[in-house]
Amino acid sequence: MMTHLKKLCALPGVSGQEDAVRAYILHVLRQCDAVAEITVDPLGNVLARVAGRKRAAQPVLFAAHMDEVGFIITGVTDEGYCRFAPVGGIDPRVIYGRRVLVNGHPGLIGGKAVHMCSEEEKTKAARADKLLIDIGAADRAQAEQLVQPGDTAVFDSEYTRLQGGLFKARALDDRAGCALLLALAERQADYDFLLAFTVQEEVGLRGAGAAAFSLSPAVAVVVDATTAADTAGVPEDKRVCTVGGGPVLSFMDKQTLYDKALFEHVRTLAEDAHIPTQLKTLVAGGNDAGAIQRTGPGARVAAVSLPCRYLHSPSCVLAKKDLTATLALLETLADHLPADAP
Amino acid sequence: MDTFTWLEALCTAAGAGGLEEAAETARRLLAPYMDETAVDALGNVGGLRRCGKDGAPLLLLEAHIDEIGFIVTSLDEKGFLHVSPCGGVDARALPAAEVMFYGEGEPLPGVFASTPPHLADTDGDGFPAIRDMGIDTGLEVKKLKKRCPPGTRATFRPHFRRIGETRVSSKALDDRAGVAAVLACLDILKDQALTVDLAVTFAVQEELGCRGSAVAAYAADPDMAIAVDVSFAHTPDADRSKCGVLAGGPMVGYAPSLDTALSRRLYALAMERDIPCQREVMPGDTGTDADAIASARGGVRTGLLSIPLRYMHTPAELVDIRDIEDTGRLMAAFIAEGGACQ
Repeated sequence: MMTHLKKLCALPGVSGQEDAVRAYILHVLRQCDAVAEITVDPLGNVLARVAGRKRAAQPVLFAAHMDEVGFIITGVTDEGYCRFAPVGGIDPRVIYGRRVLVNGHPGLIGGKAVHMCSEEEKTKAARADKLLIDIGAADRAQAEQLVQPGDTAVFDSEYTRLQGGLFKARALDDRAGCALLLALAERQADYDFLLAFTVQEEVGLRGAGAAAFSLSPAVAVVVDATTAADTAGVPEDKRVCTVGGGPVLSFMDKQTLYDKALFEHVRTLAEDAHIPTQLKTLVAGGNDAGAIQRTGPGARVAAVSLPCRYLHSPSCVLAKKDLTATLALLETLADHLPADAP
Repeated sequence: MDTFTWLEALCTAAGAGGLEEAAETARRLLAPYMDETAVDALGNVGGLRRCGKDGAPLLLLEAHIDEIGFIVTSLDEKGFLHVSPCGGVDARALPAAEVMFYGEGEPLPGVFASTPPHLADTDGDGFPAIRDMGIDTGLEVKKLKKRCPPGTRATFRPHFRRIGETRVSSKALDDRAGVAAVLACLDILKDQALTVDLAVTFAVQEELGCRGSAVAAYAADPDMAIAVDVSFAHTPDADRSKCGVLAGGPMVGYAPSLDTALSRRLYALAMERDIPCQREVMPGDTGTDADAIASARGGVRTGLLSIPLRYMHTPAELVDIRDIEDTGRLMAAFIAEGGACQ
């Protein structure tokens, strides 16, 4: 699983341009004995049916999104800089001074020296539409040889092991979910299940709806990364969840009121298997569950999330033990069908 | 060795607030061009090349070897390190920035905590004070106390990159670019007979207020000096009149604290030799080591060459290699003609 994760985090996949991530996922799925059927839908979602030891009348769908937040190039200036807009929710405060890769070409986001800034400029984050990416081009012609409007850029930030079992990388939201689902596909489960690796989650859960329509699951479990704000200076009631505390179970977020019986099913399974879990203690954020729940005739949904610090920044931080515990929980879920809806 | 290789060796070494690695690297690169090298009580690297003629004037070439960085001030109960900046760090570039701590044992990577997205609405676009931004290493409090006690130095994590064909990006290009320019000058002169003695200083503590160069200039006791530092290269958001141009050649300083005849001679020489060059006019002192050298002992006629640099005091500064080489060529031309100026 860690091998998959390291490889997935090295691939660019800004919403709408998930090609490299999709290619890797297809490559892995095609080598899995249990994966019976793989399709790529018109939006680019990867859908798969995985055979278990026993048939399930209504196989559970496990979903994770392939896309990541990043930047889209909106133009090139006469001086050879790239204008850009953020794709997905990126805090303006983590953009300035960062290294990026535009079509794989190294670039920088910066502005005038702090020495020349007014007090206000020094203490306020510049908006993305006021910043430029410097790709080392001397003029427009040189820049246009490397970059065209519509191309995308990602933070240039490699996988790094920190202390205490933590590691740092770009796009852990949601390559961590993708890596977990690949690990799930590589294992023989008790029951059949479905997989969806979705596109365009970060721009409004736009891929998951189509995926859910094609697969029409009765029950879906979304595996995503969620904000862990257990950091310096954040009050207890706003921490949401804690790194190292195990997979995060949600009862509600900004997109979804989760199915109560399914939530209890997940929690009970975790307890029985002695897998630590924690609750998402703030109604914030959202994930593909919101789209899946409301597609077609509707579906019962649960979220199993990874507690991730500095989400949507170049330096996302996860604990390895949370990944391991989440994988154990997903395996248990694949082996135990939930009771039918009341 | 070429400029790129020199720069890479210099920039990836740590040199903030008394860290010695960068100075050791600089001394190793300097030694082949000098009759002798030494390190003084403050950590300044010095070198001397004699021309063999009695009574030859002594010309000092200086660049600073330190870089902006951080010093650990405290550790909070959640295991986040808090730091104070060493030098004028650009706080806008800190959230999600990567750093390396040089404490006990191996260097320890960390990331500046960034505001979690769900808290961003209340905080708007302001930045917390640097002392309030925790740095996350993953290490538990007890071990962290041992590895990074108060006083531990940190720098931005080294990432050395070529950007475009002739440009590089890294931390600490301020002023390793200047050190590389001095080396480039010495390399041009290595097989030439000279009529002046050459002293070289790579000074410490410039970013803390030009402290090292004062001591080094006292010891060297030169007849004339040229300091090499970096200055602002224009970016589209900056006032054009306050900036030089990247790839426009060395910026020859004109200022009350500098020797006007020397400034004029350097500029004229660049014109004569077709070396790209630009003027930088400052209305008082220069904010560089040139000021401290000029007032050493009974006063030293001092000139300043600045290499244009974008994104000063961020983790990703940018220079054009050609500007460094042109700065080296201009100094070499000046020295080869005997350092004459009226």
